[in-house]
Amino acid sequence: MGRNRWAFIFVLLVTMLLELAVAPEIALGSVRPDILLVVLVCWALLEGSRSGAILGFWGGLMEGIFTTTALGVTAFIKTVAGYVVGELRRRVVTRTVLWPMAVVFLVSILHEVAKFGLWSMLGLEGRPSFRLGVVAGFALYNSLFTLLVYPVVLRVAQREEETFMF
Amino acid sequence: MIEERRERRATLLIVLLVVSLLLMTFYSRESEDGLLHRLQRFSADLISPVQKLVSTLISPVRGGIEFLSDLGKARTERDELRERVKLMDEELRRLAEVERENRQLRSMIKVKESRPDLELMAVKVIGSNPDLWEKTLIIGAGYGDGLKEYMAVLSEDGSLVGRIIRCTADTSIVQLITDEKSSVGAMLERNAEMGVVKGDGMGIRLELLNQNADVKTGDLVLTSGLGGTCPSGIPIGTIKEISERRPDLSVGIVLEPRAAFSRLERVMVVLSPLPTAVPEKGER
Repeated sequence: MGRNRWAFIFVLLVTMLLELAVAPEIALGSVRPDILLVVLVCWALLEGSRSGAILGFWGGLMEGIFTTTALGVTAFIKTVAGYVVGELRRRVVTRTVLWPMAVVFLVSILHEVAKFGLWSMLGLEGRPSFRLGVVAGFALYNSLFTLLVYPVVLRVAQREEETFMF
Repeated sequence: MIEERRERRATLLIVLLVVSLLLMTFYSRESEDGLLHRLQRFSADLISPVQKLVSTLISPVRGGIEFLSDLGKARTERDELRERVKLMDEELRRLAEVERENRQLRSMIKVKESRPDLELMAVKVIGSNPDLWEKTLIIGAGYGDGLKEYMAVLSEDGSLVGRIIRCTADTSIVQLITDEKSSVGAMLERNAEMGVVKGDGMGIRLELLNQNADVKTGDLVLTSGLGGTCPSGIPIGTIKEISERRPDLSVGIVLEPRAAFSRLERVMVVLSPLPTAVPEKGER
């Protein structure tokens, strides 16, 4: 799973707490950030596809458990997101925060499109209607939130690496 | 080695996705009382105290964010409100003006009712003489409006202000009773002792004909009607100060004028009865 299991668990739990308790409180109108998705993208970009997929799965699963959305949907999407973004690490080497911001923006849009697609496939009743403006606002908010999250995740990932090196 | 790692990653991904798909399938097929649904409900109960706590702790931050998001709207509203406040201020000023005018006119009507023998005309004060030594006012009516020289001029409460000394078609100049050249026949209200009220440039003083007259501070002084320019019984002022007898046996009596000369906006001109006599040259 990773070189430092504790760092991973710490990131997962703190992210879940922020996602469930803080994100709804900092909504701008009808748009709230998906802190888990932002952390997942940053983590996967720094740690790779394997760690990204695991974080995506457990994070998505917990998100499903602690909310009322169809269980498994977010786990599925975030697992794929973590894996694909992790694969990018080997193809793009950059330390600028603009890169994760751009990836977060794109992944946020795809995340919502995939979520609506899966809901449709499952035939869930009473699902909301897809609104492009909200999705764009959501992607933009997440992208801006990356400015706060990326430096923190970078530090945690570096510390993990140092622990491993020692 | 690299190939092996890639295979392991792919296997892991497939396992995780299959688990997710199985969860989705079970969840969407089970009833509301199913295991996964119950797990969700239990978890919601578990997390809600934490959410409440965070909500309480974060409320100032949320307030700040709301404040920032409302800032643009607030600016527009502020500009609109400023404009409205400006308009309302103007309206208030206008209303205050109207109220003051109303008060003045009501006061004038009262005077008219109390003196039915006088025909009065309300005229607006349009200026005063800038000359330091002449105490005069300019009013907005002249001979075109029926005004004539030597007509008496009263304040809104019916006190004596002065008399007209010059008329043009649309304006007239009123000599105030405080002017050094002004003199008006007067009497004490309390005992009808006769005298003359003269201006001294700053105020007015009373010169009594009877040097032994009974006079007290606070006594009201009225016009006597003698002299022919001013009707009788119009209040001039009250006795403010009585000084020692002078060597010529006269008594120096200082009056407090009843008319407020500093804030005259409207005056009343006595159109009737008309002045019957013209003051002597140099005395007017």
